[in-house]
Amino acid sequence: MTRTDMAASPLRKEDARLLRGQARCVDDVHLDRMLHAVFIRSPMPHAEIVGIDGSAALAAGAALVLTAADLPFIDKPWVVRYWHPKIRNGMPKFLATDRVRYVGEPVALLVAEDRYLAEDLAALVEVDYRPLPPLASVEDARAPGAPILHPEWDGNVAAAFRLEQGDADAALAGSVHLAKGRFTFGRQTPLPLECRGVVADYDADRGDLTVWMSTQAHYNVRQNLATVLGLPEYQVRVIAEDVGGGFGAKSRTYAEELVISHASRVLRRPVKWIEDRLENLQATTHSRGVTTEIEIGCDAEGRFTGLRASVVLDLGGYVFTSGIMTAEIAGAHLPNCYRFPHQQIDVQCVGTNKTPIATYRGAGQPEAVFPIESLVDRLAKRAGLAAAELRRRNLVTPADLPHRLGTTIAGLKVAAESGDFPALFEAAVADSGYSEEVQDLPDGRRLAWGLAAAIEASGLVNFETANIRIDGAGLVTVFCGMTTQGQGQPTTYAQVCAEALGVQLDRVAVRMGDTQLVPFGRGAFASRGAIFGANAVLGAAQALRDKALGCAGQLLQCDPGELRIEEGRICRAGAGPTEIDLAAIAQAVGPGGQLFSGDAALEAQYVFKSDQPVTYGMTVHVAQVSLDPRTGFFAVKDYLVAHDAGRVLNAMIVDGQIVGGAVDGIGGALFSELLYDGEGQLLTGSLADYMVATAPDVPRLRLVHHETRPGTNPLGVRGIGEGGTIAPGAAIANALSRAIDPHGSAQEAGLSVLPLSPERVFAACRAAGR
Amino acid sequence: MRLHCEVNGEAVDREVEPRMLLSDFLRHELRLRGTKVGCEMGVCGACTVIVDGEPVRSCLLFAVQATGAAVRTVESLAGSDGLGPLQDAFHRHHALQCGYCTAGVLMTLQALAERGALPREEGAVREALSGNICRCTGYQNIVDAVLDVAS
Repeated sequence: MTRTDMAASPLRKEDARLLRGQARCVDDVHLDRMLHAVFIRSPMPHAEIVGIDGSAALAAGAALVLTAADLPFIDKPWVVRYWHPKIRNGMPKFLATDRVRYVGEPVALLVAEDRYLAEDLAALVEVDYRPLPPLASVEDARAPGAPILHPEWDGNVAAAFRLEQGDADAALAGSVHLAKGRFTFGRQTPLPLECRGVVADYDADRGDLTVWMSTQAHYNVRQNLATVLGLPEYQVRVIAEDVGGGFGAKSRTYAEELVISHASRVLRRPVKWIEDRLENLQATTHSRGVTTEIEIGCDAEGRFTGLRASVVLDLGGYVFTSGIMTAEIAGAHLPNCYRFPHQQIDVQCVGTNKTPIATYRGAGQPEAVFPIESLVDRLAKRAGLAAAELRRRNLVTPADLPHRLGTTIAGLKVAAESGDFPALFEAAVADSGYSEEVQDLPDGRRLAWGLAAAIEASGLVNFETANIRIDGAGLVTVFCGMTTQGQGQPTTYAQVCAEALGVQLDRVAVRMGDTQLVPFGRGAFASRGAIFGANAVLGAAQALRDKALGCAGQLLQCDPGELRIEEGRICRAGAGPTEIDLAAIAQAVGPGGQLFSGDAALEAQYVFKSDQPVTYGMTVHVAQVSLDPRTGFFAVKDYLVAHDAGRVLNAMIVDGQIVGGAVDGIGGALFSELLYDGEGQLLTGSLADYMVATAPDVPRLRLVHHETRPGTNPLGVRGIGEGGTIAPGAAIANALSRAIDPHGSAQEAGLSVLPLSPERVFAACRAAGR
Repeated sequence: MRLHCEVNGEAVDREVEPRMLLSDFLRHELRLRGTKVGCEMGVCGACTVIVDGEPVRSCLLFAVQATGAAVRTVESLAGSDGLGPLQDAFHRHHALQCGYCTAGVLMTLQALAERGALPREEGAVREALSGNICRCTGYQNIVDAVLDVAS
């Protein structure tokens, strides 16, 4: 499989139905006798629940009102994929029991004949709250005498741990130049355009449950539905056929799918719940929300000596079902793509009365890259070096590989095993036109460049399943344990299968997003679609090819080693095609065929499993901004992303992922912030308040591809779903800082909080002008 | 209330609740699932349909406000011989990923195309797209698809 073949970029097989409006998202599912649900959510950030009275709603026509007291499984544990040993419990119940800990927490469920009626009736459910003092910030949570959110959370700390290598204190003390700062990455949310939703249909007679939902992680949902509701796992089916974006918001199980499924079981009717945007902003997990105090040093030659940091996550009211993954990665990735011989990183997750934190595209990596890459620019000033030069002197080189970052994720030592970071860096600098000279424009504005380099992790969560079947007409179907939210898997998996098996691309169909397809899988998150999904498809296709060639050898009475498959036909080495094709083999293998030996079909299943926990790559983002220092008004004028995707399966799709991710990151750096008031009320409850990038906000992005092959997987691919989102905050902040303070005379430009809102930039301009 | 209108060229005559939104009527009553809903308040543009030639947010209209009007949804764009020109350009330029915003983007552009107002310059295309949020593509390939069709 050569890169040229695969990078030919066939257009997407899945487009036509999406373009015609034929996608079937969860709200497009309509079942006979289906009822509609709304959740009654806490309007209080912190309160005791004194009582809940649904009688008026029931009297007015509600089909069902459920509270925690009505859930027989209320004390059952969640099934989580991975758990950090330092987490001190504090997971939510499926509905709030005696206390609510954030605005939007589900308290009760109401079911009625239609959604409009359900919303009317929900207003009749009376919940009696006794307010408790809200912890609206980490400072509130740490104040003496602050109420403790969960009994195990001593000091409202939900988890704390240290990542350590060498002696950072001594290394910093012995440094020639030092820089330190305090950086905050504001709270954000993944914001898929489709909100979450569930349709549950419990069949009481068969005792099985079918759930349609908008999720990235259908198998984890199935595990939870089976164990929490007490159903056989293979009688629970979770279908996520078309999903309108995920970005980490849907990569875990939420309480809603369990409660809706239970309601269907109680009512013996299908029940639909579709999250509205207010609920989405309140109750779908948030992310970022990290403050990092960090100090780094270098010697007289500009070589990094040590790194000491304290990473504090504003966790919200609960540890949610993906644990504290983002805090772990935010800490573990601080050394970034550099050699830091000594480091000491303290990570603390502090409970507050806000929505729980979980993953969002990048998952802790943007939170790490913003502080370290901002601080490298500041240290360069102190050391009298160009910011690019200081990076050059410290980048991990090919000679350093495998390079251990010195930190761990999920208890595993993380290491970059491949790549050419200096070459990628130089390509980014050269191709972008990056310069550290600030250009003064005649109208008083300034043009300045900034860059940020980043290590890029992909492929966490370590296996995936594919099954490939060939029918009697020779048509190939790939079944995979993945889901798709538009990342192109139906096309790239078909490419990988077609290439490995030896069939035409248009003969291959891909099915995924249904737990009935393969016994177990994972889903689409952690940039694992290519590394795990495509390698599972490769393994299954190779096994199926060998099986088919073995059958062909029997039919042709020759050594299978002399045979190969081309465009679905069996060919002899050195000779032309035979009369046998995959259709004939499929017919021969199946029941009634001459080679039948008990197999139902010509098929092969393969689970790709890797012991390498993470595949690392590198990306460099270069931004040019224009700034009016009098007003603080600025715009991103030019933007370049250099990246290493490993082997490119479909260049069109890879580029789409990089550009889409980077624009999401740019919007996040410029606009997106979930704001709470001092009482713990969410102020940004609509898309008029919570902003993301729109088309005029961003320039045309330029891409630079630099390809090296990782050894972590047979295809030699790296994940590319998240890399674009990792570095924009740091790159743009560095450009703006340079524009604000062109000669480095001010102490620090002070752009240490994301997003770079107008008031923050204006304040930094004012500070530099004094 | 009684609602008479035309949807994708077919006459519709239905009894609807006065408060039913046009988006819900199209999606759940007529089962035209191509129109999507993203914010319920007219910001994201996903629910854009064409009413009497104008692009409108179907989440901001009551169904009964379409009385007497001709409504067109994304389902009207493809003919029996294949995708429409904008749809085809979106396919060729990889201008969609999850596809959830796509119907609204297409109908916004279709309304411009029908009056010959599809922009031919990148900045103007980006302005034309400013009322549609796409979370996947970063807009760049949408811009390219529009420029392709407009030229």
